[in-house]
Amino acid sequence: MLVLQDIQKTFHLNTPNEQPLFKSFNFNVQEGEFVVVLGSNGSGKSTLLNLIDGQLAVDHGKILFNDQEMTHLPSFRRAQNISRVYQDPSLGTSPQLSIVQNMSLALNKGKPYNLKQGVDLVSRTHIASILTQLNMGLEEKLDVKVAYLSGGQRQALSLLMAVVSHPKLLLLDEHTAALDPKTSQHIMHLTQHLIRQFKITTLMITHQIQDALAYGDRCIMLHEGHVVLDVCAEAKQRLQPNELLAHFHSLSL
Amino acid sequence: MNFWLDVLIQGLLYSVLALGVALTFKVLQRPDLSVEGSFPLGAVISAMALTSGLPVPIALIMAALGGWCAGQLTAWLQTKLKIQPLLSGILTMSALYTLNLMIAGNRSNLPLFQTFTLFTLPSWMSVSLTRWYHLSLLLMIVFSLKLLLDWFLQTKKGMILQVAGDNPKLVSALGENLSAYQALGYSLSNAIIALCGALVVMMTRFYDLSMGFGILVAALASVVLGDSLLSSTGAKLTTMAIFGSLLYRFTIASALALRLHPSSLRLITALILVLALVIKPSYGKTILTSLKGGDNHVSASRHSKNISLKHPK
Repeated sequence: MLVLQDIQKTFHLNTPNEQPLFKSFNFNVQEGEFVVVLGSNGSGKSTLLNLIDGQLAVDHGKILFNDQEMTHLPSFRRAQNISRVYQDPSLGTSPQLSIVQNMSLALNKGKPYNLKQGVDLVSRTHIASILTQLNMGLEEKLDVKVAYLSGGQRQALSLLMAVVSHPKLLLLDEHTAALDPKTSQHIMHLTQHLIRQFKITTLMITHQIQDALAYGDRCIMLHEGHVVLDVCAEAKQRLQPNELLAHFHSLSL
Repeated sequence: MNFWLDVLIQGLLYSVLALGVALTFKVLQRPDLSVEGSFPLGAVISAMALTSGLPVPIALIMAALGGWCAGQLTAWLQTKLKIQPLLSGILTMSALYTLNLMIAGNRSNLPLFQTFTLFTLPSWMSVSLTRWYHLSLLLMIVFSLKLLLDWFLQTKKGMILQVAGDNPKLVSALGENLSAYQALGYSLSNAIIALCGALVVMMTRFYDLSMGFGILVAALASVVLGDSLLSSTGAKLTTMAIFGSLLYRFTIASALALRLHPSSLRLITALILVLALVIKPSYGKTILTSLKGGDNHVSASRHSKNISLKHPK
């Protein structure tokens, strides 16, 4: 469903600090796949997501989405099909709006944002019922501003907001890295549950080897703009932590 | 009595300006310096419209449209030409200075003493009622504008406008064009500011090119004052702006009543702004609860966030 063809991306092009990252990068994601992306800092993981959701433009190459070219589509147009959750919990929600207002905006995605009331009684009950599956008691706090929620609660809300509009592709950018281990685990379970429920193709960046092994049905490792490891299905299930770590170390040497 | 009525009238008159400024400063969370150009723009447009015999509503609409266009210009400089927010406002303000001169036919002031304006007393009314007449007109205008803005900010479009200031990334993530919402915010804000300019000129019956000087700091002082004192109560943005404007005018008037020289007004305004910025919202809560007689029903969850002017990004 997602095809990156012959992608070139150089940072600070035409300056003394020119830094080539992707030289001729090819990458495919099949419909329904849950791909875990590993790699050290500067390996191109976040850049990959930025190129896919349009926050960065490619220098050369093509990006196809469901056989349609979207290489030059602006970020907000791609957002109709692509959702993203960031490492920073505050990037996925609007702190000054209440939980119910945030949710109703997310549910409206893909439809026009017109002069109709943002939140009505029907949507309130609907939103409360959706929030119960987070198991965080947020359905009791519908009118609380998101600014007053904890990082974990915000990230859970960000995740839910990213998926309720049924995007075709979900990009998770180390979305549990800023949370404590327990909350992080809860958010990962939630992620798995929501991805299955909404049947969303997913790309997840993580630094947690345990998560990389426990979740997803394909695992890739990036290094200096290249895919250096790509394991699917059964091969991935047989993958051992020390194998992955050994791979990591062989690259950084 | 008349003194305080005048203060109330001034406070209400300029609360329209505060509402406009609050839209960019609080909702979009961006400073807009073009205010000092779009305020006299609205004034000169309506003054010219009235002197050429156009009816009051048309003059008001034309003024608001002029302000709307000024907002579009500021937004265009920012989003299309990628000029910094602060600088684009200054550029618009500077350009509007010349434009205002041109609209007035190269005159820097226009008297409207013989012209029929919104605030002209109906012939059947006794002159002693002038202040009450003005007050009731302004109450109606400010209250309807407040209700309109409250309604708009709760619509889907209005909520995205709030997100545009709060978390710009989320606007794109929801599939909407951020630039379009920034343009909407600037335009709406400047339309209201120009409308205030038109109201002021109709009230004072005199247009002067320099009537916009220092108006931004006064408006900011009002907005920040209202915000510092009321945000912990969960009051609406519009309520805070109007309350702030009233309080600001009362403070200024009290300073003058204490026989402070009018030339010290700007200094007092600056001091009020600094004070308002330093006041912690919790102080506001304390003051208010003591005013209300110890009713401290303020939920902890509504405890306010600090004001953004103190720590610009």
